[in-house]
Amino acid sequence: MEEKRHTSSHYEKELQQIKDGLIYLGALTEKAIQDAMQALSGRDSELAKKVIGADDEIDRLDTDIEERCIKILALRQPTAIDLRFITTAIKITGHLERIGDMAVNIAEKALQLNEEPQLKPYIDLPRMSDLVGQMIKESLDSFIRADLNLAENVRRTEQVIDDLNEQIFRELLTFMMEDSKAIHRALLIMQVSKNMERIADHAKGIADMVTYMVTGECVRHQTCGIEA
Amino acid sequence: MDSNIIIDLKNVNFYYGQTRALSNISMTFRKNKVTALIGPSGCGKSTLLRLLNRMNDLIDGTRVEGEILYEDQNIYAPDVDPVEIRRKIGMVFQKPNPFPKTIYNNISYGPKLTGVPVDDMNALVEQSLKQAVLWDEVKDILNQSAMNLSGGQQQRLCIARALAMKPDILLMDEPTSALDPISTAKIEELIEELKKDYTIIIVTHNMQQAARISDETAFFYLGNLVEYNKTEKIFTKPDVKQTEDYITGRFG
Ligand SMILES: Nc1ncnc2c1ncn2[C@@H]1O[C@H](COP(=O)(O)OP(=O)(O)OP(=O)(O)O)[C@@H](O)[C@H]1O
Ligand SMILES: [Mg+2]
Repeated sequence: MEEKRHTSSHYEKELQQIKDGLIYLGALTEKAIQDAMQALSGRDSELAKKVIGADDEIDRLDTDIEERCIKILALRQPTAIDLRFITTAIKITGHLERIGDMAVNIAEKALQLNEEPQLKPYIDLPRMSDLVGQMIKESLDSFIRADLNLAENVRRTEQVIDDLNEQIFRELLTFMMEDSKAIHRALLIMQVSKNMERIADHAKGIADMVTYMVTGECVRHQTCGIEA
Repeated sequence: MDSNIIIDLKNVNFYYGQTRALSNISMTFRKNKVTALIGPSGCGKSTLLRLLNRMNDLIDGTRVEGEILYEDQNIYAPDVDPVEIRRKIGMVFQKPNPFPKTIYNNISYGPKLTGVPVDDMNALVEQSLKQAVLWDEVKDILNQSAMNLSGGQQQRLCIARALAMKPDILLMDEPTSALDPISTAKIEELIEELKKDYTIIIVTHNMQQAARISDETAFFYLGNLVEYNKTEKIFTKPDVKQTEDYITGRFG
């Protein structure tokens, strides 16, 4: 979407800073997920602690972006595409902040799992982690480029993640039934998988907001009331 | 005609001499609604407003094509009295322009001049000032000059003056552009009250004002009607890119 520039170059700059902030925040959350997964599969508890520590920066950036958006709402009173952009940005930063929290959850589970012998080789979880990382990247790309196809792609991948989560769940269930000593570890791994699935939900939430931003239509819920 | 429609423009062109100021405008205005006309300077908003109560007749060398129906009657038909049209379709201007008379006489002047029979002039003055939410501020100084009022009060007096003529429609051309935020808020509040009884068509350069008070918004550009939609739609997701560029302040 080739946009004309605002008459006010300051305004233009403020909007660009929000875009830049979101891209950076997206990169931080992607890395947090990747590291949390690596901490688990590589049994690297130091790395897990780093992920937990790095979440402060994600929170700080989220607050910063939200404040910038609120300032624009108050001072510039944006309309039309600018209004849709700002409301979308506020939602996106919230989704990314939550994704950061999920990465912390995963890192915490990794710390516990690393204390015990490995239950099974991790195969599907790293795949999930790669996919959700890609979803975050694509959802933000779709935002920056106002690309509906890319947003649709994110929604499709979310379905794949759901299926993987279910598959992992069933597999772990058999472990638990076979050996009661495996229950604790299996439950922890289930929670990791569940967190991945929730990250995918947030990425889908971003994609849905992008669709709203571009079309003015709400696709989040079938019965959604927002209509432009 | 749909009973909710009070004015219906059909293929209207308007010329100042050889220059066409409005091109092929077809649109309807709905009863008891506030309609905002927006667009860059010179796009024809004031021209359109003046067209609706035949104020352009007062300018030499102007010409209208097409039809403007007001309750099914073409207001440019030969047998129509423009003075009667201006009584039914009142106008409030950008700069408050009270007569250099007392507050009371500002209200009574119009009805007297046009020979509208009034049983009780005191009651009409009071009612009009109350409708314009000015009564409490002026009820003890009705015999003082209107010129001593503040700008915001003068503008409400001008609205009261228009209301005293018992119009159906109020046309307002940037009625708050000379006012401070409080006076502006009072006029906006007043407009929301008045739409119960009147149809209001307002020209404004203030996008937030259009968004706050109008039900429908029409965007004009170079004498053309570019987009006419529900106000909420115009300010969240306009159908036309040109509208979006204009209201978001992008280069023309
Ligand atoms: N009395 C007149 N004689 C000749 N041309 C006129 C006259 N009044 C307006 N015009 C021209 O008609 C066009 C529309 O003018 P109009 O005053 O309707 O614009 P507007 O949208 O109200 O602008 P603004 O926002 O500046 O008030 C302009 O090009 C203007 O120069
Ligand atoms: Mg004008």
